[in-house]
Amino acid sequence: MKKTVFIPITIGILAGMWFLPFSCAREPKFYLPKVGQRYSFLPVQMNNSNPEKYVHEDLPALHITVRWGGRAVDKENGNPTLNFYKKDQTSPFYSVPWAELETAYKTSGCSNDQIETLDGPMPGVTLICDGRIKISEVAQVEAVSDNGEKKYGYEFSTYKRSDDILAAIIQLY
Amino acid sequence: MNLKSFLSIVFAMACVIAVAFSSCTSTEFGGKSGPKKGGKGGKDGTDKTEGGTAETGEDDTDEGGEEGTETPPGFEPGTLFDTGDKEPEDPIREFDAEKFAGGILVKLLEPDQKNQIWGVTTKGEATYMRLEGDEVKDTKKWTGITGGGGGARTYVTEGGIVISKTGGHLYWIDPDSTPQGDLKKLGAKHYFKLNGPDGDDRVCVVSYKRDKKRFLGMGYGKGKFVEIPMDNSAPFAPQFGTISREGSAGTKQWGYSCFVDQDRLIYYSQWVNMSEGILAIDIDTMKAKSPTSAPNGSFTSTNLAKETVGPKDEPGKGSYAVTGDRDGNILNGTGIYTYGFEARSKTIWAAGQGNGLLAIYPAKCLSKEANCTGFGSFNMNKLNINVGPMSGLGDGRMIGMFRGVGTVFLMKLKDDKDLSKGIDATAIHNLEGDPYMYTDFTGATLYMTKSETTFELSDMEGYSSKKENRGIGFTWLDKKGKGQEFEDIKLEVRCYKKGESEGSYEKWTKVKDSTEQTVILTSSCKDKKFDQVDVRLTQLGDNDTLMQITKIQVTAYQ
Repeated sequence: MKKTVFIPITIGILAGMWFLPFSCAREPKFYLPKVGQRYSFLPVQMNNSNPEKYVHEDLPALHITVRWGGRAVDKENGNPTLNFYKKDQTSPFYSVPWAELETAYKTSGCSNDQIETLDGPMPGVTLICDGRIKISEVAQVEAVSDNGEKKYGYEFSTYKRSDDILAAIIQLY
Repeated sequence: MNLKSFLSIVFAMACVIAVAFSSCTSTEFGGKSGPKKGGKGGKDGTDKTEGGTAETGEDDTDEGGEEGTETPPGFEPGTLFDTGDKEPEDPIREFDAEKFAGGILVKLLEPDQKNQIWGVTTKGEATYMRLEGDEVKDTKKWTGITGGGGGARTYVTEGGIVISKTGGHLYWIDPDSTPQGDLKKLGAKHYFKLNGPDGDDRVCVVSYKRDKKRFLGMGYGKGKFVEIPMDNSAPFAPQFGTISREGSAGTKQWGYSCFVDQDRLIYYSQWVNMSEGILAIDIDTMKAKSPTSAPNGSFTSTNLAKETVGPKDEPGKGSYAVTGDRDGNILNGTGIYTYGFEARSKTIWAAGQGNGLLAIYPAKCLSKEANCTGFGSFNMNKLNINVGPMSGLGDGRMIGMFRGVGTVFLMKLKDDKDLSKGIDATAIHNLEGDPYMYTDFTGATLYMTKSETTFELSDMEGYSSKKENRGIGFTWLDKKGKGQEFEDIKLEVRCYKKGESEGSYEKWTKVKDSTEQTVILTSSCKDKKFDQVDVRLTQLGDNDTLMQITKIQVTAYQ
């Protein structure tokens, strides 16, 4: 290969590799199952209805997964404000934009051990360790995106993630 | 830098980014690639009937082959049905080995549905998916399905689908004849606004047969119920604009989800998560009925209490969407999005409410056996997929929809008899929208017009795979009792070896009355080695005699 072609191509490859992380970052964060893809599942447990032990008592830390219509909630796409209501209350006892709640694991006094249970940053997942939300008291979550679209969640599956962390999945439809 | 160098740099950058981009999009989350081939074929009316002594044509009134009404010598029946209320949970029947060699097996009818799946999204689009094997072969799409907020209630009818949107906006599609496109532009035959429901009322629609006629029935508001007649010839279009009857089930809000017991003609419905309790109406009398009159109304599980709320009126403890099984049992569970009944394996599948849970129970766990075992749970969340709305295909396969994302999954047990071997879930289509739907989008709970039941002779005590089968015996049990005529039903059978060609169905006529045995000697079932017998029953005319059959028995004579 001529030097006049080899050098520019090498520069191009290097420059392309520099842009590579950005090209990936443009990809959706959420997994869209591919048509034709087959998944195989083995039972997590036999003779037990739930893959994790469901509990209803609040624990010192709350691990929340929030799904907006099936997908992980996204601060860059809608960034909904979450309004948490207790039973029979017309005003939320706690309102927070997702972008703020998403970083609560840094600001709510979580220990390093607790933060490690997040398994790295996951879309739509956070950890709250200061008791600002007691999921057992939440009757409804209303989410309002930045363009005014609203979705609601009424019932939240909870299970014990560890001795001191309760996990809750909030599905907004 | 000259132009050549510049273009080389740009070209190389583009190549690297393109490769990176394609690697990002093709990331897979475990499992095996590629659609599963095969599966049960020949379920779309394409079977051809071969010759032999039995009838082969589609003319339902022809008399078949040479068989008579007398039992041929050497085919004296073994033990017949226990005509009591004994369920064929243990299908292996004892028989007198001195009388004959072979075996006997009893089964419930398995519905033969049309391999059709419907998906309706919040964008107002309805997609019809026709399966061949385990793949979506054709799709058709309609638009303009609008109404108030929230999801779409769907019910697959004999000739298509009825879709109900909040506020009483009703749509009807015949997948064969309705032109694709905007349904509202097709006129009153395909779109109708029902008077009565408020703007926020959900109108939950079903279809049923009453007095040999077809109807739509729907609950809305506080216990209100209306009935709309349908044409009695294909494609059985609803006669929108005509209300044949009205009734009331009570004063609770309902219509969010519903189920109709086709056998007893009882309609059940409730509001979201059964938040106001459950109501029922007797469709024959149009009067309120206690929901706990359902077969599992007094059932209480000791180890699955949360999952077996059933028809008990416990506000806030029910599923997001109620459904039921083929026996009329009501399926409600706390924290459950919905249940789905799978007829072949007699299992009930439960989708968790937004948590990726999928649990599968033997049907008896939710209606009969207080301390149940043999169920298992799967965590689909671990692969980042999540199934909400579910509806069975009647042949071992269950369809699940991924809310929000729109993926349609075809799921089945790896082994019908052993849940611990796991399940396969294949993504077969993407609706590109949120399938905000409820329970029945495959015809799983429609009245039965056709059944196809497979008998595995290896399950029979006394059967030997080394011996030829001289013929098979067919016996049926009618809910009305002994001596009922086999009326307006076509019987077809085929016998084959597992793993080999299933062959063609052959029709057999002159079927004896209920509880009496008919010996069948079709070409594939006579003097041959086989271990599978498929029995297909098709309802003829407007009668509902097929729905009266509670179980069928096959005897293998060796």
